[in-house]
Amino acid sequence: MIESFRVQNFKSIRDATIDFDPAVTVLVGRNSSGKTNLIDSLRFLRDYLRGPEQASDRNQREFREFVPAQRTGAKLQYDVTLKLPQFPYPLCYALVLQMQPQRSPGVIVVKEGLSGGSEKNAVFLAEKDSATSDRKGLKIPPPGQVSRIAPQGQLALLGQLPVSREASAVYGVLTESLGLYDFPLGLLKPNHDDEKRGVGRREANQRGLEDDGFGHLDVFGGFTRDHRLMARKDWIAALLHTLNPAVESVEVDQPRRASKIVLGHRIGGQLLPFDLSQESEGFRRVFAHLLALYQDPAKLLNCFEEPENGVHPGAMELLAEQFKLAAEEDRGQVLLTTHSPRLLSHLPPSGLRVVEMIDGETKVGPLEAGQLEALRDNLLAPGELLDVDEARRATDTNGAAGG
Amino acid sequence: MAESANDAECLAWHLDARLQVEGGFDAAYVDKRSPILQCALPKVISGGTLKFWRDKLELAIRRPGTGAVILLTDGDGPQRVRDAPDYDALNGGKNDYCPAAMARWLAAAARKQVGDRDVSVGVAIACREYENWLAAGAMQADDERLATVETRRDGKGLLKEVLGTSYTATVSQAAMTRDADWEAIASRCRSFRHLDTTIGSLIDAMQSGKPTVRPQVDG
Repeated sequence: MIESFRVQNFKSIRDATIDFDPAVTVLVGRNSSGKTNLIDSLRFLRDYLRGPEQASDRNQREFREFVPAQRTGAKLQYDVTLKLPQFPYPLCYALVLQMQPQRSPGVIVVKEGLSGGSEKNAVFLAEKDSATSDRKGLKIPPPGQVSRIAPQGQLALLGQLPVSREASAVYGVLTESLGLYDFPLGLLKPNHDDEKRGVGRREANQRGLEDDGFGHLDVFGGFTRDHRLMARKDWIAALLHTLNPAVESVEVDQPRRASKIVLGHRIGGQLLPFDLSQESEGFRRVFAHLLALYQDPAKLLNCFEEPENGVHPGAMELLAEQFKLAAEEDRGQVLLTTHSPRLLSHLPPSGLRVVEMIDGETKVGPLEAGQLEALRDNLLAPGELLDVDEARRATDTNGAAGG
Repeated sequence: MAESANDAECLAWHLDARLQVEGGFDAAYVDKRSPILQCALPKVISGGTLKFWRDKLELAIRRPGTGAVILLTDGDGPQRVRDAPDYDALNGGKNDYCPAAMARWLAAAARKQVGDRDVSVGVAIACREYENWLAAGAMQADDERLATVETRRDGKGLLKEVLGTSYTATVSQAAMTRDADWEAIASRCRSFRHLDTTIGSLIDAMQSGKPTVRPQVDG
């Protein structure tokens, strides 16, 4: 699981840390407080590590927009702490990038390191001023020694250390196991341009459900091809049935060459096929969330921005249950942003993180102690943190630190 | 405690204005950062048990440094108060809506909630809507509508009618509050005088160190 994610100097963020809940972490805050910036910063890291040829078009095109307006020379820094089952210690990955908006390459690595929880267990450390610059001479040191090497300019070393189990695992997680969903309007509806773009992309690089919901057919088709996953298809149908009682089944049109997802509606005693793209926006959005949560292989982290958008309030409990269940059933932690009191009321307050914009800077931290106590004492319902007693971030003065 | 962020901003303005007049800033300051909202009367009294009111009041009392809590809410809403014998008793055995009885009912519950803690509580209910007060301030002295300005329903509609322009609470309420002639409004609206008196009582209580609950209730 991801224990913490710290980012410095990304858009409105000077220095912010998300301490993740093991199950569901929820970012709450007003519009323009920086919630999306936090997620964008995580997305930038993921796409950067994938390599320039793999990075999303958006990141390549817009990275200059990520440079903080008031600190254009500041270094973009990441510190990620992961706890993976195959290692008895947490793994800490640090990356420092110099953004060069006016030059090419636009980003260079200044410093990079991976450790197994302490300096003694450092896997590697790369610094710009290191004496050794030949990456071919790199040797992974035995425990207790640090390999000091020079960074390789534009590329991070993390994905280029094939004999390091730790590096391989962290690279795999940070590039392939972060589902950072930003479902657009018109999600899962056929659009010729999107299909052309998407087909090319899928051929080059298949990695489950993509941020914009593309790949849904592959992901859902996997449920029909793999006997271990077939029950998931029926389970998703059962969940969708609670949204629309007419829905009895969800299938692909042709098991061997699926071109669309078809829902079986029970109408007048007959089971009639309806194309998924004909379903309502809200219905398709719920479907996309379920697909993300049940996809195989599972992500380590599924992030959803405002999952309530377009969805009937009555479905909030279903979504909340599924978010919690995903973590319980080892299908990944969940990170959410929300403005929905109804959704928030179904989620445990322990995962709440408050995002505030103060003097142009995004701050994030746990809920103020007094409000946590009020939730425990049932003076407040979690949802009321959005509309009755607005969530406040714990600060140093009242005991808990917020970044 | 107020219905909306606009209402809370306006209430804070009234509190600051009165603190300035009374020279009360040595005894108190207004916490504007975190008002407790959604305190519309139907919600505050829902179910007849005043759970929402008691819970949110407790929330406010527990905040570090709280010396007084004030609720300002519109009285335009409930027609009847059901399943609330305590209210009926304060209202002469009837369950129809009476802002004065309503305020006393909330105050009585507040007194129990506060107990022996050093916190004062005030309850103020606009007879209909806050906008009725603004309309009263915008009318000429010879305006015939003054006779019913406080009790007329749809205060926002009345205000638009008086102004002859559009009115949007989120944009205009706080600005109009700052510019309004509150002396004139006090002379025209009894429920505003109650607010003013309540604020004064809370400031006195904090200055003297003798907590109070307003309106006063027996016991």
